[in-house]
Amino acid sequence: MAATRRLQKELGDIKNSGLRSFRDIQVDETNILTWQGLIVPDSPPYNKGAFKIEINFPAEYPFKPPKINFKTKIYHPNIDEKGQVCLPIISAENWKPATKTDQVIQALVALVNDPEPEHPLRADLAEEYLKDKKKFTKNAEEYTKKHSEKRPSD
Amino acid sequence: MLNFMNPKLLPKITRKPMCTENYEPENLISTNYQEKIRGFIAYPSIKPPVEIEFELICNVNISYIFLKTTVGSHKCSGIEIFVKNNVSTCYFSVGKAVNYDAESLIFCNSKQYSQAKPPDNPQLGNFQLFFFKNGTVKSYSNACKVKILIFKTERSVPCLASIEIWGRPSKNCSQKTIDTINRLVQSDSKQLQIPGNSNSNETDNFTIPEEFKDDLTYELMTIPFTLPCGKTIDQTTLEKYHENEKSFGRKPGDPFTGIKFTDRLKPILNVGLKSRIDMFLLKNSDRSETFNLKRTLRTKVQTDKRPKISEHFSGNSDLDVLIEKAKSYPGFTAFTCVNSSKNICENCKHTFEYVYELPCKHYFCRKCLLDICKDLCTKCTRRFVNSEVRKVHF
Repeated sequence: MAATRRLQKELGDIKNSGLRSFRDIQVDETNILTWQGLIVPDSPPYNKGAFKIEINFPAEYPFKPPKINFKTKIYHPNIDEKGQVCLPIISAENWKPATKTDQVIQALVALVNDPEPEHPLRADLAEEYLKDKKKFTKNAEEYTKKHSEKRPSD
Repeated sequence: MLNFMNPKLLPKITRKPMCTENYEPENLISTNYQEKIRGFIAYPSIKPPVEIEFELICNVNISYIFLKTTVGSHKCSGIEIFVKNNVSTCYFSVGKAVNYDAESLIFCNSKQYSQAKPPDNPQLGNFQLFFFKNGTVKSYSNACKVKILIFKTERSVPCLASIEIWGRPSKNCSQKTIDTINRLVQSDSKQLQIPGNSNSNETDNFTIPEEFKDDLTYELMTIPFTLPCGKTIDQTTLEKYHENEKSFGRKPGDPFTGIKFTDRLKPILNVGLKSRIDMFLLKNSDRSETFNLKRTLRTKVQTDKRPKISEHFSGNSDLDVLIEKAKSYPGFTAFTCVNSSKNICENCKHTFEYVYELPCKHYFCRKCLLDICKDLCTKCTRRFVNSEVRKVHF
């Protein structure tokens, strides 16, 4: 399979780079196409928790983009209730095979930290974010406390 | 159920084609692990069809036959299987597969297996399923000889990476035979010699240099191309990328920068690197890791953008039309049939090695042209400029 070697290398590189915002990377030994990890945002209102995500690589990787899914519920204008994310750099038409997974993760972390209400997946949250930021922040904080994973201690 | 190609069950090869050294068909039933994974490759000049005949220990009721038909970059794309029992004189074809995509094939009994329920064997990997032909039950349920016919290859030498024939001793085998088989299976005298510790230490040191790896897929490159941005990727990677880009209606470009290729800015075959990769593969050709790496057998000729001559002329039998068509064909060069008398200067009437042609199609030697004509043809008084004069040899 074409994807295996590249994914092995990328996984090794990410584990060695010690990304602070993406931790606990778990990859099934029999299936390197699925990665799980913990997104640890550092800006409010999401800095109280951590969010589990799953990255699914297609067999044609790196010619086709990976897909990202949130496994933890999150109150965010760009992430819907099913955990789907709208991230331009991994959309099929924008995808470049030279893009590395750590770039994708950094783009994702940036999106979580700074929501883009102009391109929402959840219009209701985007409206709230734009019209009443205080209320949004309060709701998001409560939601984070209720649903998110525990942040790694170190 | 037993694999009758297991060396313990003493299969024999009764007919074999010429083969490449170290890639004998005996490798397929060898007890030596290193030999076994090497597989069989025919002698390079051999063209399909190629036959290999195996003799089994007894008459076998075959459940399925597993064939891996890719050795390195060699690939067979047409396989037919024949079987025969020890009484009959001729072979019966029980299955045929052509133009399949998978690396491996399984021919199986449709009564025991189906697409939804293929043979259960963890080692099979990626395979395509075929069924034994209808009405051949008699043949494959009582077979003692199996013949593999390779009748088509994908621009490579006929090859076979592995073969397994799974089944049970057929009904008419005596109890004695079955006992013997059981005894043979249980004997551990001829265990597969799996490479020992001394070998595995060696393999740990084996690494492919970074520069030989494709910058996108990290696989060893076969035909390295250097891109305008300086990165090097394999031809197959580039082709795949362009295929993807084409589906979005975009022109071929650099996968790293996205800049479109032009006549001056385009990927270039890295010949130096290619020869270093080939040297590396050659030096390490005895290592098991390199057996399955791709390598070029012959240079792939890039398909020309020009239409093929045959396409250009198809569907028309009238000769005159064909000649007219031929003249319009881009590669056509007009060789006008001219009398040798034209090597004569029309002024002084001497014969020369070459003459000069004026735009009015009159011919003069150099001397006459310079002395007499200057810028006016003496024959027809047409004016011409120096750049219009052509030197011609007939």
